[in-house]
Amino acid sequence: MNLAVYEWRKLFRLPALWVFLALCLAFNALLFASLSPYDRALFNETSAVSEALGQRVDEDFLAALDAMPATENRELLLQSVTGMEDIFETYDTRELSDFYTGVVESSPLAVKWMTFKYGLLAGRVAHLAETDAAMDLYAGPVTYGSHQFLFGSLFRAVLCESAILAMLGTLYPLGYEGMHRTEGLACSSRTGRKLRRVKVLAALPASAALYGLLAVCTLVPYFLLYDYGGIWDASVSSQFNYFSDMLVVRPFLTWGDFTVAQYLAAALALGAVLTAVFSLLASVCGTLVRSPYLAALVLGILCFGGMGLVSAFGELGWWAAYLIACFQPVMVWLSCSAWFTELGLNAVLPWQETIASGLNLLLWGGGALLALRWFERKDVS
Amino acid sequence: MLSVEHVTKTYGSFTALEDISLTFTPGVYGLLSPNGAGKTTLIKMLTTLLFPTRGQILWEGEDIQALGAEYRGLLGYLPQQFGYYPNYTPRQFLRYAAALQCIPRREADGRIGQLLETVGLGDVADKKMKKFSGGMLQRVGIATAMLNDPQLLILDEPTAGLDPRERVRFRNLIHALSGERIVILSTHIVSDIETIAGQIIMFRDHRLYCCDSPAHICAQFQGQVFQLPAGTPLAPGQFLLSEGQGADGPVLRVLCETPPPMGRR
Repeated sequence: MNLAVYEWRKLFRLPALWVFLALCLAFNALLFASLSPYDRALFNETSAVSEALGQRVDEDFLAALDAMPATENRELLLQSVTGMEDIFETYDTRELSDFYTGVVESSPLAVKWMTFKYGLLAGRVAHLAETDAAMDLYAGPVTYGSHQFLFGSLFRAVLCESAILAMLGTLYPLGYEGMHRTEGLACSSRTGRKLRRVKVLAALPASAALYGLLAVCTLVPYFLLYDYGGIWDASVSSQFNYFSDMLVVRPFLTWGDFTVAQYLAAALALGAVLTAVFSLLASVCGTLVRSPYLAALVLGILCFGGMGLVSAFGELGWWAAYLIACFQPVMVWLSCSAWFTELGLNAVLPWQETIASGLNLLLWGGGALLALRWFERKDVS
Repeated sequence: MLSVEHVTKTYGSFTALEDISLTFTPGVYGLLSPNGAGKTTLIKMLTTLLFPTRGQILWEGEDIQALGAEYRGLLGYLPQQFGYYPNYTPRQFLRYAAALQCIPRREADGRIGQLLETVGLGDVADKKMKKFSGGMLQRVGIATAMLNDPQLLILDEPTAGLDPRERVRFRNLIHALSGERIVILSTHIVSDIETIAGQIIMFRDHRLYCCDSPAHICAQFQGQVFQLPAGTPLAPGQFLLSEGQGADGPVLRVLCETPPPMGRR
């Protein structure tokens, strides 16, 4: 613990870290500029309405909404909810299955996987129909925009910045002794080469703390602007929410029942796991590659090269390889706006982002352990 | 007791050290050889930074790699290029080094105060090291190496880059700290060790050349060192040791078994 504190001190005393963090927050603040004040007013009014009337749109809700004092936003809301039906009662996943099996038809294995996934999704649709999740108001007509802004823009930015910080925040302590020529001193001490283990372990909570800081500093202002008081209990599978992949729009079909609050909590938790994955990935590179600059380059190649590989597999029609490559941490990050849904062409399994993050955690955790063991027998020049 | 048994270190086809066997008991040892002869390689193997390609190094009969932390816990090491954190004060840096040596904080704090006084840095103990001179940094280095009161103290070219006054001061410091421990001091400057080393270890062509006391080594060449006027051509069997200024002008110091015609002892 004592040595971990020294490692944290080295990292958090780095001015560049705070400059980068400030730039990230400035960028996130710029994202707020894209918000429409009209949508915000409608969102807050919808939240107030649902706080008073509840989230479930039924006859009582409609009657009560109709009886409320008339405002422009209330009229808009009323128009949106009038005539709402449970879309899941008539929804058939075969359409999606046919579309995606058509896309990947050149690969029989990929066709099999897609058929399997959409077969399972049919059961979820039946469950959502039973629970009337589609009849939740969420944020009414501004649901998609607000959901996409929160999870597709803000959360994606936080996650990306946290991943970068986690990687740099891991590489920096790992390269610190080399940069200051203290590696000989450290490796000949009683702690010895095990100092690397301390550095890797210290980088994990440091990455989590930076992620938490970024998330709090970005999301708190958003929740101050957008009143989620009446929204938290809404189902994210409300018919006002949807997901679009390859220009095909489909309801927001999650593999489990999520309220907005639960969805945000689950996304934040998975984000923390993904941040740890990026930190471990950097641990492997930083241990195997001596120079922190070279290690950063290797990391960049791994991340961007991985994305390029997915794209190349898609272009070549190697769909089985494409679907496997979607398990990479970067691909999990890219799909963050629709986590816990079927993810279209980016997933072959239910809960793929969760499974992929868990597998990556095991893979890179194991990789870090092996790299550290390798370092134990490495000459330190 | 530290034993080096038939140790060889190779890097691909390059042999840095070949078949070195040595035994160290408490006392000061001077590792003397030209640059690139393998001093640092041996020191890095003694400090577990490098692994021998062949042979083994034993501490009290046990392999130092197998002993691991236990061995490193009784080792003090000052590397050739002492690395430090410029924004740390000597006290902070020594606290960090103490943490690396797993020394409890309270115990470390007492020892750090004593050591900083011993090396003459008591008055700058809380000043950042970025403005320290080379000599001051080397003194921080020796304090770091002494932190765990090591039984084996290894100093790799500790006087390199120091001015003459600092070198004398450093030699005195090492002499004062030697006590009942093994001190291995590497240098290519004879004057660094001639007065403080009990044994001199010399390498030639990456092999052990000799390991003997300075007096015994000097006795071997007694009556074989002569001064010749500068410009005198060297005959076969005469080896140039150095050039210098004699009473009558520039001279050559040569080693030869038979006195040269114009030679003076």
